[in-house]
Amino acid sequence: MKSFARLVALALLTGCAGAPPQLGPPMLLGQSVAPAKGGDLLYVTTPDETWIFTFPKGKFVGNFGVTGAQNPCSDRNGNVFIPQYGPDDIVEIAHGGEAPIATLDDTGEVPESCSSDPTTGNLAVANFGFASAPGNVAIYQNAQGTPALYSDSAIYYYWFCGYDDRGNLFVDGINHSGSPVFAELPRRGGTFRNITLNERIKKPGSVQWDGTYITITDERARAIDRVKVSGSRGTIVGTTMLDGWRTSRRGEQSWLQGGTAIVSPDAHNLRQIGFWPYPAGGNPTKIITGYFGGTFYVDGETVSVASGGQSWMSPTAKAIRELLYVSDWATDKVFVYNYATGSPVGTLAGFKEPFGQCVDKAGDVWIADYEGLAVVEYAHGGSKPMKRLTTDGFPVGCSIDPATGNLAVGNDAASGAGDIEIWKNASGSPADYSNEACYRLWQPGYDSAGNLYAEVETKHFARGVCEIPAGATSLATISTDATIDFPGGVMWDGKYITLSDQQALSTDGDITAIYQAKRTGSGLRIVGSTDLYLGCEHNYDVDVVAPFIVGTKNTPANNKQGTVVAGANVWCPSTFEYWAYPAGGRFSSELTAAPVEPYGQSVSISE
Amino acid sequence: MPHSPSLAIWMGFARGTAARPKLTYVSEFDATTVSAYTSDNRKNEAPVCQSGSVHDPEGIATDRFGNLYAAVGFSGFRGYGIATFAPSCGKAGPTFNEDLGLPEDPAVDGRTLYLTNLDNGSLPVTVLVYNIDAGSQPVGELTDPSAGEGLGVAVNSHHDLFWSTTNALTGHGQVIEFRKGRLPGRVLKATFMNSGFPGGVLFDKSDNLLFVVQASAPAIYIFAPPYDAPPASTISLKASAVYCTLSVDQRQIFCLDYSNGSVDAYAYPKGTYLYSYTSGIESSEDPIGIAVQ
Repeated sequence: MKSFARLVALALLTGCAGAPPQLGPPMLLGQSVAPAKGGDLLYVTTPDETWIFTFPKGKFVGNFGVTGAQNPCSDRNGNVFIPQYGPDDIVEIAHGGEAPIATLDDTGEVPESCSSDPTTGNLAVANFGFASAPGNVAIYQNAQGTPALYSDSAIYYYWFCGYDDRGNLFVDGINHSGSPVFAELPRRGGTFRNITLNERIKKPGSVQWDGTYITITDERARAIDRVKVSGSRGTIVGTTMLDGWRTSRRGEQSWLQGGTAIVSPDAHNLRQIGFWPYPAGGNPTKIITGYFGGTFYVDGETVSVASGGQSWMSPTAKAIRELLYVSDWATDKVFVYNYATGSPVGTLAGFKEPFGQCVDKAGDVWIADYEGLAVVEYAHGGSKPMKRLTTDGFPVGCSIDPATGNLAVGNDAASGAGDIEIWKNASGSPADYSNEACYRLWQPGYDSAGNLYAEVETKHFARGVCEIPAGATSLATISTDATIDFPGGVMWDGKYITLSDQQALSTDGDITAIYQAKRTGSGLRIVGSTDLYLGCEHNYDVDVVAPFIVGTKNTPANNKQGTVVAGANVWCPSTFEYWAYPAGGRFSSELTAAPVEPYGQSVSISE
Repeated sequence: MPHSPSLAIWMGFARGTAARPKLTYVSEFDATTVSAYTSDNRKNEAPVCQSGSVHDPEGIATDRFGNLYAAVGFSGFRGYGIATFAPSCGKAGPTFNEDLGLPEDPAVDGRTLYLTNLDNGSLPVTVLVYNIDAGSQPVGELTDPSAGEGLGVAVNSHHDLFWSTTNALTGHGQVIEFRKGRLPGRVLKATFMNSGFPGGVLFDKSDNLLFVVQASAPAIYIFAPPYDAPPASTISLKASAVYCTLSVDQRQIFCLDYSNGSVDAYAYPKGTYLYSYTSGIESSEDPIGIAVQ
């Protein structure tokens, strides 16, 4: 299937004055090249090949075989979806990959185009239809499983679909008489609502959200219209003219990337891709040509945003009272969910191995960026960092002092002992605390009195607990009657300081135990425990890193024992569970769209 | 080698402008001639003449001069191609070679001759392009990765070529357009079928595309230009046919019913069934091609 057989030296060919630069393959050197994973990529489909270029430079990266490919789309994680007529499916390709990581069945339909819901991860597929039967829209929840089918009696052939930033789906197509139809499937509605535009679209093309408006490409007018939708009425509030676009009007896809550029097939000979400025329009600024074979035509394209590329957040996120943040080492991102519903609402990017997390009284979330050597603060529902504090080691987790607002971070060291850094009021320069007896540290935790604890390991792998008492200036060991086989992290549960052990023994094997402890004159005395059972398989080890205890208030303000533990068993990729607390036992529910490799989590409650 | 008389002689004969009788040609795969009937044959009369001999004829077509083109095998195992005959069962004309596969259906556009093969042994199948004035070998080849088996070809008034095929992956029918008869092709998604097997394609004087579909409910789907909307209308056939042809005045459409061995006439564009004739047509002979002059 794949054939990365071409290593193509690119030449920048400039034509007559004012002509856009053209990127083409002047020679083939016959060497293999693998797709780059580090940057944004442009995927272009012809019926039997997918071509990959860097974006926005347009440098050829590779190509691989597909079958009956139609118009692709990409999701917020950079995954690319390619609808295929013939196999009647949609293949999912990871960013920079060429082999499908998943295949969605669409048997008996004509998958034409797709769109990924930024708020949920659902995938909508416009199924074109047949001469003898109209099409429909298939929606795959979390881009998985069997789709729910939706149809609009006004639409016979479905061309394109596109989600807005709130999860409303817009589709275009034509009715039985061949007239254009534009419709909306509201986020919470199960039926289409037809939208009457104030101007006629001559030949409906791509539908896509540009960051402010839903847009419709008019292939006959060679234009992209920005539409403001109010109920069943749509008003075209702006138009971008694509000068020089010689479309064949047969349903080629255009793609808006970042609201700043247009990538659009140029049907001059049906084998070109042109870049136009958006929303300015005018002449193309770049043309990619010469790659797409002699007998084939370009059908569609999408831009896959690289892992670590961009953060996004649903505008509705700030208004959601409880948000779950999950660090994922597999993608170097932090995924944000509506805690109550489990629906994805955002992704935070730019990390290098995001690890433990903590929240302050206001609900701001601090995330340890392990390889990034920093802790990063985000507002509840915010997509841009509020603050980034550089650490002197590899941060594993953090905690906020409820009394002072100080931020404590536990760090691994590249060599030698780790340390704890404390920033007064979570700003300025930190104070460092280290002790050879506290050689390796796990996520620290403040109790309600401002005492800071951390589970530790000595240089010779003996496990215990270290403490910086409130007002103290040194880190020292503290005795405890808990036996910790493999630390998991410390956290205030609203009533007790808790220690966790990822390797507690039980009759069912290794489980994760959370020990509730009281500070006494002699140290930490265990008063209770919570056992977390059942991961992905019965009798399988349950190792939860930094289990997060969810209360009714943010951790530093919480004075009532939490009722839920949220965390992931690291033995079970792509799972995330909730246990009753302090009862423990089997997990009570799961997150449906869990990240692949969760290594830290928190729940932020808006105040 | 296939018979190939002087082009100049033949073409001179074929370009005559004298009034010609309105005839309907019918080919049967197992017959050795192509039979010609009075076009409005309500009385079920016998053929008025026959063109031949031919070997394994499939689809047939006529040009604007009335010359007949038949996709055939050349007798004596001398390969496949197109046999031609002067109007009104006239003498044989030049032949055109098809060395790739099984010739299925020809179409003529001025001096350009197209021939789809049904199956050339490997996907995708092709449409061969001939210059009628440039000898017996093809001068070009059209194809598309989605084409499975080629069934029919037709050209509209803009010289765009339309090719009915099975989809290589689904096996169902579709039509592929080649603007001005040139690559690349583009599948007309509005013609996607979800059942049945495709037949031929043809155009009426308004450039509506007629797509014959063989199915349990055989029909002709009619698409208005630019062929991206659902069928503007559908004619239900009383029995399956691979090919149909419009009468010269386009008030009737004739389909060759291979199950019953008959030419079935329908009013066009209404699609009302009018009559059938069977004289000299045997279902056992695999009737298939039909064309009018």
